[in-house]
Amino acid sequence: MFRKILIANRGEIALRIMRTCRRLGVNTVAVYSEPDVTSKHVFYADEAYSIGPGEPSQSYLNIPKIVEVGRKSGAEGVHPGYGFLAESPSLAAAVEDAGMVFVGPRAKVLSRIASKLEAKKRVSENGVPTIPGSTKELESVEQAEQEAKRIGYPVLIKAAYGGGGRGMRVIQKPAELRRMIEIASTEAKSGFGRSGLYIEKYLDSPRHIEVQVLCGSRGKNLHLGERECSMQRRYQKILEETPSPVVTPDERRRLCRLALKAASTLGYENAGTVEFVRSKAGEYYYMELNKRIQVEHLITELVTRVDIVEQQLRISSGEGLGLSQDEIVPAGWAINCRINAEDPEMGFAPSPGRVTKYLAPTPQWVRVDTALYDGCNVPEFYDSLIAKLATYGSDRMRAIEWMRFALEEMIVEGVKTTIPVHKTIMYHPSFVKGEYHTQFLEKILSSWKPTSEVSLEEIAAAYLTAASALSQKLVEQTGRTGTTGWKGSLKSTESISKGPLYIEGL
Amino acid sequence: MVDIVVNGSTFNVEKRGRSNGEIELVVNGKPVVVNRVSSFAADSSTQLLRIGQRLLLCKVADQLSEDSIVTWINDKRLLVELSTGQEADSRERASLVNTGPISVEAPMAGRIVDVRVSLGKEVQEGQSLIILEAMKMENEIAAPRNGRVQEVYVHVGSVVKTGDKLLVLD
Repeated sequence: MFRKILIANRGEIALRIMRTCRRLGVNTVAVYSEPDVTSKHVFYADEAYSIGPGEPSQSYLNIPKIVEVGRKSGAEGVHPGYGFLAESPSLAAAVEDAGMVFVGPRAKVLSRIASKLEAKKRVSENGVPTIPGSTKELESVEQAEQEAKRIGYPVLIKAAYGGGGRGMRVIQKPAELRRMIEIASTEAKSGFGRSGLYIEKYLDSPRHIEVQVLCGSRGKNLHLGERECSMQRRYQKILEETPSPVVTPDERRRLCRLALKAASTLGYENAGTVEFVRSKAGEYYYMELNKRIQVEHLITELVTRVDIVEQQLRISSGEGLGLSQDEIVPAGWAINCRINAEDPEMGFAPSPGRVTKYLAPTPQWVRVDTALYDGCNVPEFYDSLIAKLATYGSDRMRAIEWMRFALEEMIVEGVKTTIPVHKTIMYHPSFVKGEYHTQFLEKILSSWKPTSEVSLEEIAAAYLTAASALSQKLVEQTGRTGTTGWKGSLKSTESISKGPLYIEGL
Repeated sequence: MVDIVVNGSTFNVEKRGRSNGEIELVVNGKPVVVNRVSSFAADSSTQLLRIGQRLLLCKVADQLSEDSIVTWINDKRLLVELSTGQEADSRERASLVNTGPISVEAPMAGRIVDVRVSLGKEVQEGQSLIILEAMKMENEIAAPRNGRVQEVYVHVGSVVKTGDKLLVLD
């Protein structure tokens, strides 16, 4: 095992990686940008080094600086987390050149499968079904028109080197093609530095299901089952669960076999995720292989009891996978809600700032991965994910019930969050039945309003508490008491509550 | 009768009367009878209430301003606000009377990735003026009303804080 590693990331994922390191006796080196000097991952690490200003390109994406800190601190490995430089062949190569180990696939593996399109072609040649589409990067709009005509509208334009929905566009009819290609190409260039695009058949109301794999040396590859990731907004996952409510045991065997076949075709190493789309008819198509630990890995850990970061460190340090396929017996159900610093009432606008109050939910069967604390700062430079709230249940309904309680208990003040959206989802009859697809959330959000789950008794109690507290203040200030204790004119119109009122006991 | 806003939802509360330690309230038209448990001794910011068969431990968590307060009602944290409607009214009035130059400010901290207008350009209400990137998302800043661009304070690549002036419309 390593003696010391550097974590080239921030926030909750850096903290989560460091926790496993601490458990295994591996010393940790944190890097941080200037606005992150008060981030929890900095305090948790054994050593912490500033690597530049808040702008990601000058800090968390600065390869020479990160490698220099690694070398100076005597780290033996570099864990990239997710986002930033995860999947970057350049970071992996620079780390290897400096005599350290990249915790992930080796640089040569990463560069060999850097192009999604190339990977798709190879996987398809080896008998894994893929979505019909172009086999080469698009060279002209005319060629795109021909390809689209061949596979049939609607089609999807995708960035060959991208991810996370950027540079991705759905095209319903030929007239939209030229303009959408221009937009997608610009987005891909600014987001990923390469403008290459390809075209695919667009499936209506598909499900997005992925398989977690662990690939050791000498072709020892295992899977940890699937994750259902169809709850999305603009191609961004909002919530994940495992197992998937639609995958039957037979389907699971087939799906996981396909995932392992894709991973071995590509000569993949370390922890990875093979993403599939599932058509309404129940057909699976390989989409891509994610070459990193993923945000939602924690739900797989809950049902398999495998520490995925530990396995990553074992593979990279040469100790080898400490598991065999028969030892992995998933049990129960786990759900993850992504809590983002966004304002759902303002079209999910980012909501960075100071967190004035944070209270962790504490029902049974809850895991929270977060770097939040009272008074912490959510910088505007980075992803809006501030917490992952996961619950475990012996079955799906239990996991949902624990999640309802956990969402109710979790308090984040000072920034707006997506907690109210998750509350709506947890009570939505279609979600409860497990019937949803990648366009489901946008449909329910079009008429969404936050609901207030406060009983009339609680309103009455809150009113009396506020009235007496505020009247005391008035006594102190003016030496007299008011009738309600509140000063100022009160308007007695608009007595209708914003959302539906859940009444308990009345 | 007063309106209170609890966690963003408005409720109408009327205090009907009080006798033998009993307080009768009407919340959104529904009667609620509250008993203060007098044997409960705690500090002045905590009280124990009985409503029907339910006991509610009520605490003041935080006083945010003259008319807003954070309370704990058992394990629920509720933000209680006065809804006087005054603030909104005065803001509305201000925007109606304001026909002079209006400055457009950054609604959040971030980086300017596009400036879609230039000096002297006429813009329509709702027209996209500036794209501000924050948290890896692009946010469109639109014209609050019709006008002519009088000043532009930022350019592509500028880093701004919340409330920074971006441009002025005539």
